[in-house]
Amino acid sequence: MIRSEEIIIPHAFWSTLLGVLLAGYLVLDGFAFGVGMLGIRLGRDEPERRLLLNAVGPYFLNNEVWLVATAGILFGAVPDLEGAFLSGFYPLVVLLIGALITRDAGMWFRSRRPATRWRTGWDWLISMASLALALSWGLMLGNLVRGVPAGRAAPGGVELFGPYPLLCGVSYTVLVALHGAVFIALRTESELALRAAQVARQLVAPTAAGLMACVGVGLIPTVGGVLARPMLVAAVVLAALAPLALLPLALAARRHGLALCCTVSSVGLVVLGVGAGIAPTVLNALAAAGTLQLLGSAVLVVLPVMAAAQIWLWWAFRGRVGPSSAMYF
Amino acid sequence: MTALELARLQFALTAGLHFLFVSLTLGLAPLIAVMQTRYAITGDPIHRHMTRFWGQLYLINYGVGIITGLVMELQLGLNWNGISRFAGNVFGAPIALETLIAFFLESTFLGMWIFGWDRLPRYAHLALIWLVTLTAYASAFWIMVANGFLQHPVGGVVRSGVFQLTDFAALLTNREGLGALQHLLPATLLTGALFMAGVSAWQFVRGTGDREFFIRSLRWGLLVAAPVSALAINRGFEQIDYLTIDQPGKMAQAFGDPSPAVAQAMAVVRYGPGQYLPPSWLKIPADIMIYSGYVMGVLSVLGAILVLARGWLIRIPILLRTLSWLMLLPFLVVLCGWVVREEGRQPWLVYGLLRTSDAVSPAGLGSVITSFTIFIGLLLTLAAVDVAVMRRYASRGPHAGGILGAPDRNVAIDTDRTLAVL
Repeated sequence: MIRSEEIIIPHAFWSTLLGVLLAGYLVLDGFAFGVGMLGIRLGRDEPERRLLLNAVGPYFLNNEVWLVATAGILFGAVPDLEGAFLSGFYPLVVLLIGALITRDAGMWFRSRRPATRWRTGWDWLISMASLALALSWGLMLGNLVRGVPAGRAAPGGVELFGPYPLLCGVSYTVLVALHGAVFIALRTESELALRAAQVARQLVAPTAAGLMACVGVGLIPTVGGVLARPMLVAAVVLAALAPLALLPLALAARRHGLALCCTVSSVGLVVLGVGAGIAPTVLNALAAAGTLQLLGSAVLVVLPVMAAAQIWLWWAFRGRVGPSSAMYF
Repeated sequence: MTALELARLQFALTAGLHFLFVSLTLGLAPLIAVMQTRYAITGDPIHRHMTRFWGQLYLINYGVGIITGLVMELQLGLNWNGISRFAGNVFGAPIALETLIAFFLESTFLGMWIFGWDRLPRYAHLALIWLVTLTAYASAFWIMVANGFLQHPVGGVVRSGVFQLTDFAALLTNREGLGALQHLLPATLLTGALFMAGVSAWQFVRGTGDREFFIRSLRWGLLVAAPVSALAINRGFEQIDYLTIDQPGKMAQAFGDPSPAVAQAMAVVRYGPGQYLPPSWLKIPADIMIYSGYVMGVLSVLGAILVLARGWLIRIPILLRTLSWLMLLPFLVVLCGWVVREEGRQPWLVYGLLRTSDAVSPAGLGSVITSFTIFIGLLLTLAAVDVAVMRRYASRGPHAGGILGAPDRNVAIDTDRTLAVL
C-alpha cells in the first residue's frame, strides 16, 4: 500500500538502475578481464606481473561487487525476469560462473606462496579464465540483444553459442583487451606501460571493425535474428565508435587518462545499448508495488554511501603503481 | 537420482560449504577489529603483528565465502525458480538488501582495508575493519531474515498463488530469524575464538618460537570462547518453545518431543492428508551439535582458567594437543546445526506454503548434472586449496611474511620476508 507522503519511484528507475549497474560492472571488471588476458603476454617476468597485479589489486574486490549488486536488484525488483534470464541462458550462465570462479580463485591464491611454479600456474589460469569470462559476457550480450527468452521458448545450447553471439563474443573480447591495455598504460610505468600502449594502438581498428560487424549483422533480420528495438540499440552501440576514434589521438599524445575515458565510454555505451533493447522486458516483469517501494527506499539511502565508498577508493589509489605499491593479489 | 534430488544436493553442498567458511569470517572479524583497535591506541607492534597474521588468515578464508555465496544466489534462480515465482516479492527483498546494504559495502571496505595498510590515516584504517565487521553482521541479519521467512512465513498473505508482502516489520522481527541469529552469532564467535586458540596451541605443540605472540592469541581465543559457548548453548535451547509450535516435525525427529506420530497428526490437521515428517536421521546431527556444544563449553572454560593461571596451559601438552584438534569441532557443529534447521524444514521450502518438490525449475536432468559437476567440482577444489593455503600459512607463524598492503618499511620483522616473497 503506497501512502501519499511516500516518494513514488518511477518504474524507469529500475531499468535504468539495472542498466547502470551492469554497465558499471562490465566497464570495471572489463579492464580486469583485459589485464588478465594480456597478463601472461605483457608481463614478461615476476616483477612485471607484480606490477600488473598491483595495478588491478585495489579495485578488484570493489569491481566485482557491482555484479553482485546487479544480481541482487534483479532478484529483488524483477524476480520473474531473473528466473527467465537464468533458466533461458542456463549453459551460458554455467560457463560464465565457472570462468568467474576460476579467475577469482587464481587472483586469490596466486601470491599466497612464493614458489615460481605455483605462481606461473595460477598466472596461466587467470589468463585463460579471464579470456573465457570476456568471451562468455560477449556471448551473453550477443544473446541479450535478441531479448530475454520467456519460459519454454528458451534457445537451445547450440543457438546460444551460434554464429551471431560468437561474433559479439569475439568483438567484446577484443574491446575489453583494448580496455585492459589502456588501463595498464595508465597505471604502470616505463617499458611495460609503453608496450601496453603499443598493444592498445594495434587493437583500436579490430575493435571498431568488430562493433560495426555486430551492429551490421544484427540489423539483418534473417542473419542476426531480430534485435529488440533495432534502431535504438544500433544507434547507442554505434555511438561507442566515437570515443574509439578519439583513442589513437589520446594515446599518441600520451594522455592515458583521456584514453581510459574513451574505452570506459565505449564499453559503457555498448552495454547500455544492449540494455536499452531489453528495458521494456524489465518494466514488464517488475515485482509488486509494495516490494518496489521498500527496496527503492533502501536503494535511495544506500546508493550515495555505495558511490561515496567507491569514489573514495578510486581517489585513494589513483596514480601509477610501482614495486612499492600496496599489494595483496 | 532425479533432477530434484540432484538440485537439492547441489544446493546443500554449496550452502554447507558457504556456511563453513562464512562462520569463520563472522567469528574472526570482530576479534581482528579489537586487535587493531588495541594497536591503534597503544601502537604496540605485537598488536600490529596479531592483526596482520589473523587478518591474513581471515582473508584467505574470505575468498571461498564470496564465491560460494555468488554460486548459491545464482542457483536460487537457476534451479529453484519456484521460490521467486511464489515469494519473489518477499524473499527477494532481503536478499537484494543483503547484497546492497551489506555485501557491496563489506567488500568495498575490505578492499580498502587490505590495500590501505600504512597508506590511510591510522583511525580511518581502523574504522574500515569495524565497518567490515558491521557489514558482515548486517549481512548475517538479512540472510537470517530471508531464511527465517522460509522457516516461518510471516509479513504477508497469499493472493492467487503468490505471497504478497504486507508487513515488513513482521518480516524483520520474525522470531525464527532473530532467534536463530542470536544462536548463530555466538556460535560463529566460538568458531573464530577456538580457531585462534587452536592454531596457537598447535604452535606450542610443535615447539615453534613466537611464545609471546601465541600465548596472547591463546589467551584471547579462550577468554572469548568461554562466555560465547555458554551463550550459544543458551540461545540454542531458547528456540525450543516456539519451534515446537512452528515446526513440530523438526522437533519430533531431532529431539523426540513431540512424538513423530503426534507431529504428523498435527500437520495433517493443518495441511490435509500427506507425509509431513522430515527424515528420522535428524536426531544424529542434533545430538552431535548438543553434546559437542557441552564439550566445547567445558573445555573452553577449563582452558580459560588454566591460561589465566600464569599460563599453566602451555605446560600441559595433552591439553594443547586437545585444543589444536578442538578447533575443528565448531565447524562440525555449525554444519550439524544447519542440517537440523534446513533438513528439518522439509518437505517444505516455505513452511506450510510451498513444497520443495514444487519449487524446482523445470530444467532437465542433463543440465542439472552439467551444472552440478562443474560447480561442485570447482567449489570443492577451491575449498581444498584454500584450506591447504591456510594450513601452510598458519603453520609458518607471524614471521613468514605474506603480502598485505604496502611493503612494510617501519617494522624490520616483515621487511626482509616480504621482499623475499615478491
